[in-house]
Amino acid sequence: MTSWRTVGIRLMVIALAVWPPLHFCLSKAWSFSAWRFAGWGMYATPHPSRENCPIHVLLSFPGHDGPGPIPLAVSFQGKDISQWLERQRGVFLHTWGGPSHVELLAAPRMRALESIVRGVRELGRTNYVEQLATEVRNVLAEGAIGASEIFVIVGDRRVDVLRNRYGTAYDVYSLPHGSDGIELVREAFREVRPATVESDLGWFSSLALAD
Amino acid sequence: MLSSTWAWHDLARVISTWGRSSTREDATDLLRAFRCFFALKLLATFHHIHEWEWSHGRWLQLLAVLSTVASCRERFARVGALGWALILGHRVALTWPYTLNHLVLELILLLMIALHPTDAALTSVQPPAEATLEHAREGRALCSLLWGAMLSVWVFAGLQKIAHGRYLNGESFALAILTEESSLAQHLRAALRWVFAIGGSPTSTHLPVSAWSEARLGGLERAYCLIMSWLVVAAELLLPVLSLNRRTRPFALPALIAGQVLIGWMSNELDFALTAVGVLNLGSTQRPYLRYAILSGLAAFWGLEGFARR
Repeated sequence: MTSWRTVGIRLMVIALAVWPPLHFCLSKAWSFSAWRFAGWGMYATPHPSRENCPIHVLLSFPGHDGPGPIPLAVSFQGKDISQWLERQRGVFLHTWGGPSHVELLAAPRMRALESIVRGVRELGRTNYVEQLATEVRNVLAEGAIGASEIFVIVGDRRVDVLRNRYGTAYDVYSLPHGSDGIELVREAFREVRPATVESDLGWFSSLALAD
Repeated sequence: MLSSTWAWHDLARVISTWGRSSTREDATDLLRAFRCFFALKLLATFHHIHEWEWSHGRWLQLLAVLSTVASCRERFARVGALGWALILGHRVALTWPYTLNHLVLELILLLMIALHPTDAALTSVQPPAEATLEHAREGRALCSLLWGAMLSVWVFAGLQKIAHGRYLNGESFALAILTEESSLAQHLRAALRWVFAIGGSPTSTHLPVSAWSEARLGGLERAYCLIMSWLVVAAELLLPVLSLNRRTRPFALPALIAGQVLIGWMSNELDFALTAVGVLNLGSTQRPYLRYAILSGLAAFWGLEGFARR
């Protein structure tokens, strides 16, 4: 066997031995799904599906002293985009203190939106959450409304089989108006808008709060 | 197919001799049969992965056919493997970062085959006697390499499940049963119905996403999730290790193959299961053509069935 072949095979053997443990460490550090990037982590975590990993986008408007968030209906030329996002992509739109229905003036980039949503669930989370919040802000700007703050709430369904408890752990990210950067605000979100938002969104049970 | 008398007795006997067989014919025939099966399997299942349509790129299809033919010829086997590696590499590049993991594994296996010198290549640079010995040694080395690669997938899959901490507690199966409509979830629920036929009545329901806070699993269901999870991880860690020992291999290897078939069927990953079973069959040196002919037939049947369904 010539040397370059030996080198090639050795490299592959090393890759097969080293990549899976490295993949585990990187998936933890960069929060991408264990299912991706050939680290043989399929089924090691629940499938990052729309059922297991719901995504809520909450538009917060100034002066929302009234009732808690309500569902936001978004449509374009009579087509209900928000319903489609809920059913097909597990993305739920909410508004707090703003209009409950927005008719877009231009067609949203649905393919880009789908790609970003998948990125939130399966690839490095923070980067794609920022893209999602920015995309929603840009889309709604087409509807001539602007929220003061956009929250992206990424759920992760949990089951404690031994104790028979069910809930959703979640991360809350915020994109304030005029800001380009997303911020993880889970604790702040809980302090400022505790039970109201959680109960109105209908997702967060006691297990999530205990996390 | 593998639960037949042939599978247990014949396969167990020949596997126990694996490692002692050093004849040139054993390694050559085994590799030739495997390479041929692998290429035929890739061709037969091409449209499952690659959405084979005439509009998709005729050069790719032509390359696939030529690579398959070349893979079945000793002289051009490496070229065939390289051709298929190019096709899979193209697919990996197209689907990145959402590439199916087994495509990457198949790509690695193909590159290993492509780097392995053929009989013809060795004979051209060495005297025939030395080339024969060298080829037998290289053949066994490649078989071990491919086999080891497959076993490493099993072991690392088990280790990943333990490390991520959401499998051994039964959570993955519980979530699948409660929320998913995947093939795995449906088979898990079907198996649960069997359990309930013995152990009682179900209490869980398949919930819409909006009713998650009302989710409940009964004691039997939770025990089922836990036991199944532990069984899977134990199999993934122990069977590869046991298959390395000559005494336990006759039981471990058929169990590995049966497990691979079961996983492939339950999770609708038959494409991967075919590859994996093909590689695991490198553990036997006898009747390679028969065994790989059966596997090739299954691959062709599955491929054609899928093609007809489209």
